[in-house]
Amino acid sequence: MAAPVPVLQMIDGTRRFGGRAVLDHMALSLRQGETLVILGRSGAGKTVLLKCLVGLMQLDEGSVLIQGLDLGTADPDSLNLIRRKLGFLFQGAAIYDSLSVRGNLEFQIRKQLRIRDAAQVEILVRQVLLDVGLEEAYGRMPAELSGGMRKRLGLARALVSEPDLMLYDEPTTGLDPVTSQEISHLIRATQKGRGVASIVVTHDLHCARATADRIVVIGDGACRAEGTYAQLEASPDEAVNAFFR
Amino acid sequence: MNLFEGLPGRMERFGSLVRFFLSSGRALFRSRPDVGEWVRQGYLLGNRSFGLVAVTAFIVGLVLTVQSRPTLALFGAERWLPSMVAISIIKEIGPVIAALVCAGRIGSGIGAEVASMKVSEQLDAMEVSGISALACVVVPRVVATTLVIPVLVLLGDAAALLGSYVGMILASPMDPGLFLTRAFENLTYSNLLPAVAKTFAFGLYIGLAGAHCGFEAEPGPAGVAKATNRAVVAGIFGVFLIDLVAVNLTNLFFGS
Repeated sequence: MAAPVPVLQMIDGTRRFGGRAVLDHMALSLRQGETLVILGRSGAGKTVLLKCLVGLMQLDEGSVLIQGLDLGTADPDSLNLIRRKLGFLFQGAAIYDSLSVRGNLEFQIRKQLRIRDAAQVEILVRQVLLDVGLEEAYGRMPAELSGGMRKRLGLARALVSEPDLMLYDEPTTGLDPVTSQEISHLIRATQKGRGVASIVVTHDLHCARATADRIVVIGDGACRAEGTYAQLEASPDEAVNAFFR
Repeated sequence: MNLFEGLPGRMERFGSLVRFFLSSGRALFRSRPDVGEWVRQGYLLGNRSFGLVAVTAFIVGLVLTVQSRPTLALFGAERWLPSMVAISIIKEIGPVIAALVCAGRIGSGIGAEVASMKVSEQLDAMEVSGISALACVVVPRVVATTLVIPVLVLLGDAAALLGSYVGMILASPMDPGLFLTRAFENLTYSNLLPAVAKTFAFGLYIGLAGAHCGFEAEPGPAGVAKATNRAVVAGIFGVFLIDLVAVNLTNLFFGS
């Protein structure tokens, strides 16, 4: 029996800035229902990797395939279709500041899912707010939300399209330990409950431990090590082991 | 000082603006028209700028009348003052003054808003969900400026004529009906139509330049400030350039 097509794959990805290769012939693969955590030091190219994986940045060499579709050669319509089944939680949550919590979700539902029926929109908004524990913030403006609530709203907005693939960019950065833990559990619950394949980019070990099925450590633009949390924690490689001390 | 020093950079920005215009045009025709958002943006932009345009135009009309009167009086041509002021305002001064005010007020607002959406990754958040940021953010604003700025110009013209009338009665009493009759007696459609037509070009350009500067913003708060500044400078410079082209086209088709 043929092996299933990976949900997401980067083949030989290289991205340079001013001659310096931030990604250097990077190879990465994500299986259906799996949560892959990418660990790396600040400036290791984690965010660049994530942006290349969704086509927000173009690779100089190599390719990215989402469900078999090459992002580099896909026409805009195919790219948009793929992106409609993709969720992305940005580091700063990237909330639409001029819209209320409800407005953020309504905008996403109307534009991404093309649902126009007001009653159906309302049901989806209420449901996804319940899923992320943000029901009480329904009518509030983003400026009135705490950092943790903004992340939850960002997550709700990403989940409202019922994505096949979720990408999280530093989901716990800037949050207190309790809220970080809540967000990590929410990521895990999303993966378990919805069977969503996920990539979590972080340098927060607690988050990595709580969410990862598999961890890739990146450094100098390439994968330095790969394995489960326990395997990497016991790694003899000093550079990898340094993360787990 | 080398006049051509920044030329390659400016040409590159102009090329980028043309590409942005074409992409926005494609987004307009490929997406379902969000008329509600166009109207909302039009109301916001128009409502925010009407007072400033009206007051500025009123002052310009008044000052133009007060300043021109002594010269015309020297030749015994005071009778022609309302007509001269009306033609000046409707053909040239009204559209340009209103467009410059809008370039400062509306262009900077759009530039700052889009730039802050860019640096806070809101535009990326749309793109990554398969939502066209051009269709959702740029098109409504550009459609709104294209349609609202001509209305603001017409209202500004009316305010300037009111200012002119006040300037007239400061010197000697005059019946408002007589003022209007004299103001419009020499005004023709060939004066009015090209003047109105160019205001659509002003509106299109101001919205587009503002959004383009926002889209091209560099990261961080300094990037937002720079984009806002660029939106104003590009808007003002573009208004003069469009006016130059429009005046020459008008002379070509309607005679001077």
